[in-house]
Amino acid sequence: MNKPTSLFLVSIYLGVMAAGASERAMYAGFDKTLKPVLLKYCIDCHGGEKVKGKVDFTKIKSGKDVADAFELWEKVSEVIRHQDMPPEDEEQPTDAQRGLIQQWYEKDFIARVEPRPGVFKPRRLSAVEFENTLASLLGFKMVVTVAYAEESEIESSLIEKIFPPDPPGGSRFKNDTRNTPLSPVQWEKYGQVVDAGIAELFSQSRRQQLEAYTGPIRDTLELDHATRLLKGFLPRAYRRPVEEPVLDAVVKNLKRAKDIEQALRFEMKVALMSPKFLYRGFLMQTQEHGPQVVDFYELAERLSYFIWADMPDTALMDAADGGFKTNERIHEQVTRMLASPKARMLADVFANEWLTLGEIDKVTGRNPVHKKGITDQPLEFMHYLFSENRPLLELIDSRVTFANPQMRRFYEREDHSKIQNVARASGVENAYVPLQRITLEDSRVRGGILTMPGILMMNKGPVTRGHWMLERIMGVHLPEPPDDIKPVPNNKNGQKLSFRERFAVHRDNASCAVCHDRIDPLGFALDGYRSNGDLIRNSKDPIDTSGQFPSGESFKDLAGLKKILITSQRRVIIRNIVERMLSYGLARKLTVYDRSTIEGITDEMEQTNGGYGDLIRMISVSMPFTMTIKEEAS
Amino acid sequence: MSRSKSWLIDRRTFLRGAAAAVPLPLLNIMSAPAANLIGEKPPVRFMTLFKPNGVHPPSWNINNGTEHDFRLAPMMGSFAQHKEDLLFLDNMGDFGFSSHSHSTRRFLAGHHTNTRTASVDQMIADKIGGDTAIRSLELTTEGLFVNQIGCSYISYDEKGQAIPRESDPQLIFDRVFNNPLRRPGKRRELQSLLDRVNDDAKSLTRRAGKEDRETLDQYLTAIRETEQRLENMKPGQELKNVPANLERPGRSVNMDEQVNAMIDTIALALWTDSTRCITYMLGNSNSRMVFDFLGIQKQHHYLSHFFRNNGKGNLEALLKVTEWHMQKFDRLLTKMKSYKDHHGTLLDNSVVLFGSGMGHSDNHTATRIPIVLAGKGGGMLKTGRYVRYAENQQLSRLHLALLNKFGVDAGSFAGNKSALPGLDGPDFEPYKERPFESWVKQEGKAIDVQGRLRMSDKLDETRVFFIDVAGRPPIRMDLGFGDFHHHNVAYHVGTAITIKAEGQGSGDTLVIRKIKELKSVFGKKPGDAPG
Repeated sequence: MNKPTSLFLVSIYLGVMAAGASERAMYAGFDKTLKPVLLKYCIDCHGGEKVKGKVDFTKIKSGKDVADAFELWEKVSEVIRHQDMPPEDEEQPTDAQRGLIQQWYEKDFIARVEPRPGVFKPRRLSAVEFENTLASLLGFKMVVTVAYAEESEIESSLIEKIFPPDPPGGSRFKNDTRNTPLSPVQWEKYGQVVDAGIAELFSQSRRQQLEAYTGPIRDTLELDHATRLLKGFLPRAYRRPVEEPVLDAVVKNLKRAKDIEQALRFEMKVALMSPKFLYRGFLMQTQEHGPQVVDFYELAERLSYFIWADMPDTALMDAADGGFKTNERIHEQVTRMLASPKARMLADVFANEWLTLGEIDKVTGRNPVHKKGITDQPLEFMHYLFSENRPLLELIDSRVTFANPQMRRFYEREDHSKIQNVARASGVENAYVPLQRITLEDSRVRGGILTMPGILMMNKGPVTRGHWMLERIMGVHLPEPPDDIKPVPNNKNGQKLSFRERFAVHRDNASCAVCHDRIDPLGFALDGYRSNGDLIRNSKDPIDTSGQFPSGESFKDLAGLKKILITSQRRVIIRNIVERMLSYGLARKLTVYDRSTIEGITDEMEQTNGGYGDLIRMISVSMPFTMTIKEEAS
Repeated sequence: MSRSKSWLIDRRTFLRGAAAAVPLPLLNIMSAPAANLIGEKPPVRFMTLFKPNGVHPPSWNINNGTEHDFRLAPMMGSFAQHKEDLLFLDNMGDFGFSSHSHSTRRFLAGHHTNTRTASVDQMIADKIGGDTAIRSLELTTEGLFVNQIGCSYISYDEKGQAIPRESDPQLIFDRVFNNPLRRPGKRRELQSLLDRVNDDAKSLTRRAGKEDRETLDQYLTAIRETEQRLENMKPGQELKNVPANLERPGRSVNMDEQVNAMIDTIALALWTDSTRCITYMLGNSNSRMVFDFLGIQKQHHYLSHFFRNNGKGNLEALLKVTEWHMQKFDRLLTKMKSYKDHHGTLLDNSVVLFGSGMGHSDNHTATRIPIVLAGKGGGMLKTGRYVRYAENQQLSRLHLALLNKFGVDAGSFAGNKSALPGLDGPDFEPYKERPFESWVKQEGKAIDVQGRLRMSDKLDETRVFFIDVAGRPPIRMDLGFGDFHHHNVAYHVGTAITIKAEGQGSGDTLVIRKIKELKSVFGKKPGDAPG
């Protein structure tokens, strides 16, 4: 067990250890305030004779039970606030009692929760992690044979082609696979890909990759080659050293075999189909139970799957061998990893899922030559922010962007000449031109992600634009709209109201206004852009892009909104970025126990105007990232 | 431990005793497929090979041929050796200008408006699939041409929906020959694998916490269910007749290798009776593919507009690409002939439909579409013939005739109730050429000729033509680009022309070098003559 030596780790570590006293206080508060109300109004259905909706309040018997049930309390607070519970035909608590429950939740519960790492649960590699890991292990990517042609949609990744798509987990990220059980169909697909991978490794064309494991093979593959391969391959496949007796047992199987190559291929398949390979975390060395710092190899894996969506490379494994004894040792690795081309996965996977960038593909028409630039632009931009450690708020405002000649129409005239034409080869009817990095003269019209053509196309109207901005950029999750909404009224005869004006009438209703007061100002600020991403120039009627935040702060136009976002809303946006990044890095939904980590990192980022690289470095040494709680064996 | 015992009963013992790691070589359980079938009628297979982007008619069309007396066109050299196994259908297609996607849909669906029913291959597959492991395979070489999606498909299901196609020969090979549920050897390997990973998962359980156990249980459940499926497998689903020395195709380095590997896999799949119906597209219609392995950097579709894009070397490049398509047709036929099947070859017991959706690739007309049938279909077809119909024929007539021959009970197809005659005999009305006189007059350098024009058989001689004149060797024309272009010579190929020219030589070695005047005997101006 490695001992944390950094101040940061130690202080949090002690915090966890000290949890006992606060749990007693937690139970006292629960017993005094909440329990009487629950007994009066809720227990008939939730823990007395009946247990409806799997909610059983009689199971809460200690401070630890109270603390562990944070998701339950979040739900209780929500149904009480919205008066969804108790059901209408049951006896209702008074307003004062409802208030008491809220107060307990906010003041007694949330405030008293001590930070705690997540409970350890192994998780299966996501499809993209499996793909990258297999490629790193074999030395080549598994591709589909398909002839290349311009203007064609080509699926070249074997795994993307044959695997069912990963559903997003509780964190809304697809690397959060804990709640997606392995189906026999999926197991069969693993088998198919693994078979194909091994067959290819042993084919003529992959001799180099095979010999990287076996050493030079002159004629046939001998026992020596096979042994050398397994001794190199198994620790890599399991992402940690393998004990000698385990290796010896496998080598013994080879010795008994008539056909060495066949036996070797079978042993490799066993390794790649084993839960030790397909899942992360089963082999972690742990103390019996309780909170603990994860071992060095687990930490190496956490880092590599976070930044690369891939297994650790040799340098990272070497670092783990030596031990991550200080935060600096971790930071060195993170900085090195961010400079690697593999860090592109942060954009392609993390940013793609966070900002729903995959949706752009569905709205940009059919010709790959035209759509590729538009769909790739935000990914390229996010990769730039991540890999060059740009300040977090450049997400909103930046003069750097990426464009190709096919996208020139979206840019201001003074920027056109910065996008270089590329001559098409003779006999080629249409061809994609790669994106070029350009620096805009002025960031107002197209700087930052909000006004990228793909983003404007994916979110067509003001409501979807505002909703996306609120949810994805500011981290505000709105409830579902009520069922009985009437459509926005058409103009009556003689009326000449704009959509915005008619919409204002529509939401002149308290239950709509709660959310729309927050959504609409953001969305209407983008009304200067068409749903095809074009800027509206020379409009006959002036376009009203002004708005007001519920706080009262107002702006004249989009530039004004952007100013507010990077000043008075700065902390909100930084916190959201911290939360999304942390949640992806941990591959789990954040809980109330993560709050102090989030606030701590947000403070730091806000004060230092840190960049995305800094954020990743901070997450990589944070308590939830470096620690875990092992549950008792049942 | 005895191998003769059933694995169902004896599995654990078997595995513990022999095999935890002993590889299980493929059991040599098979003999030639035909051995099982002696005395029975072999199944007839239906194979379709689609060539994208039409043809360059002067190099493709057969001129002045009759049913039993015809000269193959220059572009047919690659597969000329199979002439006796081929049935050339001419005057197929009755549309004028036609888009890529419409003409592609018609190729197997009869008409582009026939969008609610299955294409002919799928109807045949339903009929002849029987108890084969795989009902049908739909194959291609490239991705989707999404701008006109209809260019990417020829096979449609019973609702008229496009059927996804596969381009990777290895994937197809694995699907046909390496499915553990279908092969005893693979199945045994899977059983020992399941045992090993099961042990692995259990060894982890010993030290697992509550959350780990839940996850491991899920894994173990998947393993158990896979075992269950394996045990429930009916013997009938097993793939029979698989040769022991089967070799999985290697990773292809270019499209040529890819297509070769696919064709070899196709022939093997048909021969082993793994499936009886396959469609394979050598490319999307409208294909933007570049044949760099032939030294050509221009796109196929661009080149296929040989008149519009008449740049230096373009026609030569197009003919090279087309010849490559023909070589693939040849490879398929040669492979199919190499497999003994029943008393004949696999090709004898198959119907192969080869062709394109459009005829003239530059002006997109869908008349004189290249359509060649190969194989005797177990007696369905009479090959070694050239059948040029008097009138342009709807493709749906051919489809209906094929349905009837395969025993599909269909009164009509794509709205057509009358089946195409002539597939198994002379019961068709042949096209009649208009008679004309042919002659040569030579006076010094001046040469006047009337005769039928044709292209050189050598595909790299795009400006060399011959004029056939009755009773003497043909007159060669060796032209510069100016004459070739100005007189639109290629346009007259196949038709009767009168020409005033200059040249040299005499008798057998008469060669025209310069055209003074070129007239069509029956047409009024270039392009009006039929053909």
